[in-house]
Order: sequence, then structure tokens, then C-alpha cells
Amino acid sequence: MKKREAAFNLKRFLMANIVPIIFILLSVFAIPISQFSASYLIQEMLIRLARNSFLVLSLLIPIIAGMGLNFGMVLGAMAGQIGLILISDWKVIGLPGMALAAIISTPLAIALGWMCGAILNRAKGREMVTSYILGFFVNGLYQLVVLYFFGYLIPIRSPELVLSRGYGIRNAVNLLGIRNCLDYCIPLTIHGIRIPLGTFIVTAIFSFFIIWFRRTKLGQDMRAVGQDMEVARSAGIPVERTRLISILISTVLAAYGQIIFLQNIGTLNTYNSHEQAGMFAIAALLVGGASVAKATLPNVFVGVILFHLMFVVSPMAGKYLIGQAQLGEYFRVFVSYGVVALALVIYEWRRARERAYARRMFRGEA
Amino acid sequence: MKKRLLMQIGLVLLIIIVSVFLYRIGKGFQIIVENKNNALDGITFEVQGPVRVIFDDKDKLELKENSADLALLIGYGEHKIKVEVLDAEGNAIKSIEKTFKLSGKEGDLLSIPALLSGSERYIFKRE
Repeated sequence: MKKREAAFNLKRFLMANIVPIIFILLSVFAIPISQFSASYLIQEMLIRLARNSFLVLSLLIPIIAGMGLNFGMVLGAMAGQIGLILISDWKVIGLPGMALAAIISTPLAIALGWMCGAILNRAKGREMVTSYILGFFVNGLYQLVVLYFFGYLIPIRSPELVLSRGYGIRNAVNLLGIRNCLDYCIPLTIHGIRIPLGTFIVTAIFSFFIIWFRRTKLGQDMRAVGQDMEVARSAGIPVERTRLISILISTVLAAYGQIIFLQNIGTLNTYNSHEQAGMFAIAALLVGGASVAKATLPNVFVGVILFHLMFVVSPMAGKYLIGQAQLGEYFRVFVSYGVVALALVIYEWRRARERAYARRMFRGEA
Repeated sequence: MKKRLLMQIGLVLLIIIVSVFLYRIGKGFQIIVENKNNALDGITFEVQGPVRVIFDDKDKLELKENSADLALLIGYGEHKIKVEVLDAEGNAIKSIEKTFKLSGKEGDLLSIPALLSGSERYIFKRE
């Protein structure tokens, strides 16, 4: 009996963690083929962990509130980018520049998050696809603002930012003034590996914030709403308001996450940087073993490491395996979209199974 | 209700004040540092040799005779400048330290010969 129970648990464990297990196996296979040294991989993983963790963490709160994966985080990313464009024009440098970009982006992210939350409250049960399409809609508005209003309605003085026609922002904005200003604000090198300690401290503070937030009244309300909206409403929890706040917090944090991400990269791709932010952050979270309904802090960090390890090693592994680095590039794009699709399919399959089980229970068949 | 509104207004004001503070301490100014003969108010200041210029004890520039370079200074407040005149081996033979304020606009020009000669107008807005 005990043996059967153990076997059953192992099966459940494998099923629950199928995505990270696949990624670990792929990494075990690809790392030796890529021929990268351990120190190079550690350095790359530390940089990417610092670069991406905050963005991925911003996804946790809507999951607690049962709103699934917030594809609308690109709205926050756009707000962050507007802050960065303005500080680049004003030539505000270093940590003050980054903080100022965060302050500028906050009201924008609040407005966008409020709008997103209000719309998602009218699309209950279809939050993910709604927020995904909303991202495209707001992307259009963002392009209108950045391409036509900047330099025309919103004064931009730096000629290196403005298109030659006199208005609109150029394709690439150099963020040299704030590049790595947070990452290496506390210099630390161990065995030749530079540790982005500043960003790790900020990420750690944010992680503790999430742990604390879950225990607050609002955090408990979100969990209740996430488990069952009708029961939560009966208990006197303002469901719509709670859901709206969760999306609002996520959007604001995504704006800060995008600022941290771009200070690490050092260049803002004005019209593209935000587009992939949501998809890659969501893919990383799912690779870490999270699902549409449940995500934890370890999922975030394991996911970022595994997903980006694949990003780093797959082009070189592809090159050494079949002589084409391009194949590795295709592979990683396939993987990032594939893992999102797989997670959604597994989620829907589980939900259908649970519904069927509940129906059987109701009929007294089980 | 009134108390809450006052708190919200106070918070907005605080954010504005913090933003202005961040802007002032983080604003970068690019200045031209020139080690060339310079005529100011009818007086000609002549180059004294290659120099090493240190801003705020960290940013270093090395300028040969009759050359110029750009320096990036951060913040509206006072800045410190240390100029060392170098000999052929690169050793400092003369050193001078001063503090100055920027005009607050882009394109200030700092004349090293004027500074070394003791002129007070060694930094000015380029016409």
C-alpha cells in the first residue's frame, strides 16, 4: 500500500513538474555540447537573473487573485519606457535618473493598470486572452504617442532622440547614462565573476514584499477571490475592486521591472523592447513550474535560470551539433511560445478533469 | 474624507519635491574642457603644457597642448576641479584646485589656461 502511494506521489510530482524537468534534461544535454565554461555560464545566469527576475515577479499577484498570467504587463513596460525616454532627454544620469523614470512611469502605469483591471472585470474567465489583445491595443496608442506626440506635443530637446523630421523618437535610445547603475552600484567580484548586487537587493526586497503582501488583509482577499469569486463575494470581499488592485499593482511593478531590465541592457529599442517582455517573463515563470493558477517565488527564480540557460546555450549547441547557430535561435523562440501553449493546454486539461470529477461527485458516481 | 484628501495632496507634493530633487542631483551636463590659448576680455591666456584634469575626485581627463575634450558632470551643485600641469614624463609640476558652479545649460566651456592664470572667468557659456 505504502509502495503504491509512493509510486502515485512520484507520478503526481512528475506530472506537476513536467516543464522544469524537460528543461533540466535539455540543459543537461545542451551544456556540454555548447562548450561554454562554467564561469561564463554562471556570469551570464547572474546577469540574466538580475535583469529578468523583477519582471517575472510582477506576474505573481494577479495569479494569486485568480486572474491567470497577466499578459497585460506590457502596458506597464510601455509606461516604464516612456519614463526612460524622458529622463534620456533631460539627461538625468545614474540612480537618480532611474528613480525619476520610475516616478514618471508610476502614474502612467496606474492609469493603464486601472484601465486593464476594469476591462478584465468585464471579461471574467477570459482574462489572459483579453489582456493579451489589450496589450496590442495599448501598443498602438504607445506608438502614436512615441511616434507623433513626442517632439510635437511633448517637448523633446535632444537631437539624438528625435527623428530627422523633427518629431517622433528614434528606433534606439542609448541608455548609457543609467546603464548598470543599479546592478553594480555596490561593486562585488568573486573569482572574476561580477555580481549585480544592487539589483539582487532590490529583487530580494520585492520578494519579501510579496511574502508580506500575501499575509495582509488584501493578500488574503486576493487568495479568496482567486479560489472562488462567488464565495468571496458572499464573504463580503469586494471582488471587482480586489481584482482591479491586483492588476494595478502588477502593471506598476512591470513598469519598474522594465526599467531595471533596460538599465541592464543599456539600450532601449523604442518600438520593440516591450513587445517580448510579457511573453518571455510568462514563459520563464512557466518553465519554473508555475501554472496559470499557482505560482511561487521559487518558480520565478528556477524559471529564469532554466529559461535563460536555454537561451544562452541553445545557439551554440545548435552550432556544434549541426553547424548552424540559427537552429538554436529558432529553437529558443519555439521553446518560449511552446512552453506557454503547453502550460495553457495542461491547465485547461486539468480544469476539464476537475469539472468532470465534480460532476461525478455531484451525481454520487465517484 | 477631508483628512484623506489632504494626505493625498501631501503625497503628490512630496513626490513632486522628490522628483525635483532627483532631477537636480542627477542632471548631467556635458562641458567642453579646452587646453588652448584663449582670449577673454582682451587678455590672452596661454597654454602652460599638457594637463591632467580631475573632476569631483573621480573623472579624469588628460589633455595635450592645444587640445580639447568633453567632460560629463552630474548635478546642479558645486563641482570640484583639480588641474595638474605635466612635464614630459607625465609628472605633475604644478597643481591647482578650485570649486565652480555650472551655468545650468548645455555647452559650458572651461578654459584650462584661464584657470591656471587665476582668472575668475575660466568657465563660461560658449557663444
